[in-house]
Amino acid sequence: MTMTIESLIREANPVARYEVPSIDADSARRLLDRILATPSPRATVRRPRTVVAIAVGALTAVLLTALVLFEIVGQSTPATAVLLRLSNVAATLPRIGAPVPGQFQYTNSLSSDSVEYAQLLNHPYLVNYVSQRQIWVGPDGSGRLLQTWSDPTFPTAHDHVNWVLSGSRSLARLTTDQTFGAKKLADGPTNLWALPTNPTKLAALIARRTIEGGLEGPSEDFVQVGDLLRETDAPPALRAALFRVATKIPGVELLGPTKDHLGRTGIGLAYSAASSDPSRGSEERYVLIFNPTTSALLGEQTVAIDPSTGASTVTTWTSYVATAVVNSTTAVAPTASLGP
Amino acid sequence: MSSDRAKGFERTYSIHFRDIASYVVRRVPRDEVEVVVVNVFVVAWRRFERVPAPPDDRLWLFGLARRCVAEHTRSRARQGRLRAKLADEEFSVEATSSSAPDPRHDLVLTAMAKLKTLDRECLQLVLWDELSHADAAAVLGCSLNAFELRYQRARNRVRDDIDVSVDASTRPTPSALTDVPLTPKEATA
Repeated sequence: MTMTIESLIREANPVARYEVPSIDADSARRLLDRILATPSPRATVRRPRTVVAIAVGALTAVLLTALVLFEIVGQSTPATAVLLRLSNVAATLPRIGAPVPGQFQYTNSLSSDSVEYAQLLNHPYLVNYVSQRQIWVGPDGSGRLLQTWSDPTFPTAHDHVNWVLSGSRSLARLTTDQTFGAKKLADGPTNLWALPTNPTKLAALIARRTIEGGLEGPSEDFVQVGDLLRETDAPPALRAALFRVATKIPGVELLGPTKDHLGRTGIGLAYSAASSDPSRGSEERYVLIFNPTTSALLGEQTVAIDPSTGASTVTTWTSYVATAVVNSTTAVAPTASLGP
Repeated sequence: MSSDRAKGFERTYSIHFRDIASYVVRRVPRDEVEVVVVNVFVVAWRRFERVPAPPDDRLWLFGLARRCVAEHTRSRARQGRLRAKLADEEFSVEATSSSAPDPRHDLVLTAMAKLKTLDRECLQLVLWDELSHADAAAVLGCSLNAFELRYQRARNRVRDDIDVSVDASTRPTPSALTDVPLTPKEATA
């Protein structure tokens, strides 16, 4: 009897189907009850034809006006105007050299960190922490990662109850301090200097997911532009090009002055998409907050929008506290390095 | 909310829960499985009018599960490239801890962990989730032709990797580990 590579891969399946509870199991039934208890979609309201006709007429008028305005202001929306302004700011910044051997790109950030503790289908509970993350990345991808966490908090009383039901395990998270050899921490910042600064070419690379992998679509485009703008050692021309790439992403919204979690005010730009966690709302807004003076990324937020009330809740956040090129994996940057 | 709608959803859930949960449990850390499975079915419940009738509902749910897993992984990884890199490596950590009885299984899992995410997904959808090649291509949103190329490449890489890493004591004889012509399942059915 011969064994094909496919048979071998099939046999190596680490989780056989029988390991997953069947629908007859109590736990699977409880899960179904939870799903059915989530808010139901709003019923579709059929509008009278006259109302539809008026709406179509009004919409046509709005579109024509928008089209005229679009032509007048040079194909600009409020978001693209701000992005172009940020692009201009980025282009005029002094060049920051990438770290050379012996130097490290240092970034200090604070972020929300939610951990879902759950045995499959049993008493899940959510715990919130604030995580401080300090990272030093050398040009060869070596470096250090130092992470500390705040005391845990429960977002709801229900989470606390489930934690008790699950045995009240310790939730304290210990500081982790890891050092990494070459290419173990990242591919290194030198890649950023090899990227094209022509916005069209750069947009094509991003759209083809050549720089980072990921899903297709404008939502992911926006995330990847944010990923690259986060790297403050990127050449000014590249940062300028990235902002211009963002002007071509359909659906980017201008939020105007926006505070990050540390209370710093910047310019908020956002992209909205269907929520990845429906229990938190039907729409999720991914927000980037930039310092208008330096174009630096001050913070990021994910905001859930309640479909029925329109209320927004920040579900995850990150604030960048400091960044600089430093000479060792113990040196840090002043907190003013990202501006107000 | 009509009870017919709830009954219809319950039927869909009962038929596909295990397949979808199996799909998710192999792709995210164990303590995060439930939240992703719930997400999949909550979205399906909310959009139940858009769920195709059987048998196409299975494929629709796999596509949805794939997006939910990707979103979940990405939201975990969003804090930076390092996190993304570490998240990508979670597959190998999870997989090699399965203590498979056949020593070659660990080699397979290690080789699969080295594949690009999409290439690995091709193998998993067909060989672990038991989708046809055409269905797997639809879930991944690519043409059957593109899928076949990826599948073949991934399969060959795993095979080559095992050939290199397997030691003399566990190396199967050539006749025991042969390749097969690439034939879509549905074409042979």
